[in-house]
Amino acid sequence: MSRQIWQQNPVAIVGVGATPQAAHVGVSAYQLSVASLKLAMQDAGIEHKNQIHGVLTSRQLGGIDPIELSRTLGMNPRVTGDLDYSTGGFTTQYAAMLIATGFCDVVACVYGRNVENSFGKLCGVATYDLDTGFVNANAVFAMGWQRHMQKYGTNEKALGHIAIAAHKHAALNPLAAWPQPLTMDDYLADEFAVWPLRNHDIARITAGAVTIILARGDMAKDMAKKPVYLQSVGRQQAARMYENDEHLLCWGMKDCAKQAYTNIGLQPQDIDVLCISDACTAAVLHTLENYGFCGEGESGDFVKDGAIELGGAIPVNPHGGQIGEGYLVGWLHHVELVRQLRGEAGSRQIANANVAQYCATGRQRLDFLTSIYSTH
Amino acid sequence: MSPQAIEQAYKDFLHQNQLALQCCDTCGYIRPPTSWICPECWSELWQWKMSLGVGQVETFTWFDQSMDDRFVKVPYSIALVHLDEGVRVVGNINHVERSNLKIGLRVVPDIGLGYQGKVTLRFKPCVTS
Repeated sequence: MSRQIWQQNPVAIVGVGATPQAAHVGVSAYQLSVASLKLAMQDAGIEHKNQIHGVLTSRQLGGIDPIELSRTLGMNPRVTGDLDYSTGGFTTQYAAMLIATGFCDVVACVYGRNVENSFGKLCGVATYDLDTGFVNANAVFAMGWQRHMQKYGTNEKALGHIAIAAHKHAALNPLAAWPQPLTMDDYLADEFAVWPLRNHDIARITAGAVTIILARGDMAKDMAKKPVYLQSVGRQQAARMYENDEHLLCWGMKDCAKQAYTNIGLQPQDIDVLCISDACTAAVLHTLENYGFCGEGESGDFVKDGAIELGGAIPVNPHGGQIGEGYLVGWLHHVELVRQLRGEAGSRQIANANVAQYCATGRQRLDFLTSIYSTH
Repeated sequence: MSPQAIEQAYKDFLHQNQLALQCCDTCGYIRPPTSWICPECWSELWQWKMSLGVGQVETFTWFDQSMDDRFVKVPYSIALVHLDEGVRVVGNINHVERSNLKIGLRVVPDIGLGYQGKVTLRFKPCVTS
């Protein structure tokens, strides 16, 4: 595969900002968004709004409109854009393309949400088929894990280990909405939501906002913080869905992995920080296998002794992920990987964190994306 | 035929208790969901092929909680069924005890009124438990 453009024209994340994940009653998604934008600008050392040439947002799940945001803030950005589906890396990749191709020098990716009366509800609102009652994204995860258990002899405890790690990590994150500890006994005693998934397997809706500012690599060097460079991206859609064999085991991720790793000659063993978009615990297990962090069908064994916890072989979501911190569809994962690579993660800092990877699993298992970042 | 007309024809067959699949005249690919074009070879020539609707459960879930205000009556099951024709469809499995719904279960159609009150493709075990 040919080199990706950011290998020639470097692009870096230069600033991140996130609000606490909470109910935020009476505060609009735009107000939250602007709060996160101010934090990210401060983080990057960007003093004036006119230094931002691109404003990208997400409309996903009650997100915001980039024109309205720009107008509210008195900005005339060169480019505005939004994605209907933008779990984390899709928007930052779009921003990186705008920068690497020379359209913009600095782009702010802004996502905020605050859907009334939804705080604490299980995530996954989606309608696949009304006649059969096939609704909610977690039903798709549930069918996938059921298939996994039958095919490989795994069990529900594997899911429990993911939830336990998420809460353990969230306890070290002051912005997290769900830092309460969870034991395997608590997990197994929990009610089923969509069998074999329990409530604890599913991220709960929070309100909050994130801004991620990206800039041209040569400018990034002179900004306030250590730049976090985008090294490689893998993308694969599985639009044919159930026509694909084992669609629900997310095998489309394997193509993503191949693109991202071979492009820069890395392997899973080279990754120090792994951030996985975890609307559901099962997403983490599928990702570990399909990207090669463990063998096919072996994720249950792999996670049972703390390999994915801080201090383990490959810490996953040290911020708590969506299960522990809050549900901003993978955007908070980028904030975390930046903080880890800069060495700013405090009590949850991973030692010698040089390379970080983000992985997303979207909708009916049809959007796969991964991006790899490092500080040099 | 327009996409809407094809979908309506499919529903009309369901009303007659028949599961109709589209078979591509050019490459023989069988499709659901209904489409005006073959997703394999892009031919627009096709014919209906009546399916027995027999297949096996490839995976499934039970909605133990209502995950959506439009569907409050739980539990209910959703399964991915691999039809003997080699294609997969998603449907409810009815008339099945919880302990009997397993991957590999052989199922036959149980066409009837779905949650919307519209005729819907659902399944039941080959031998009712």
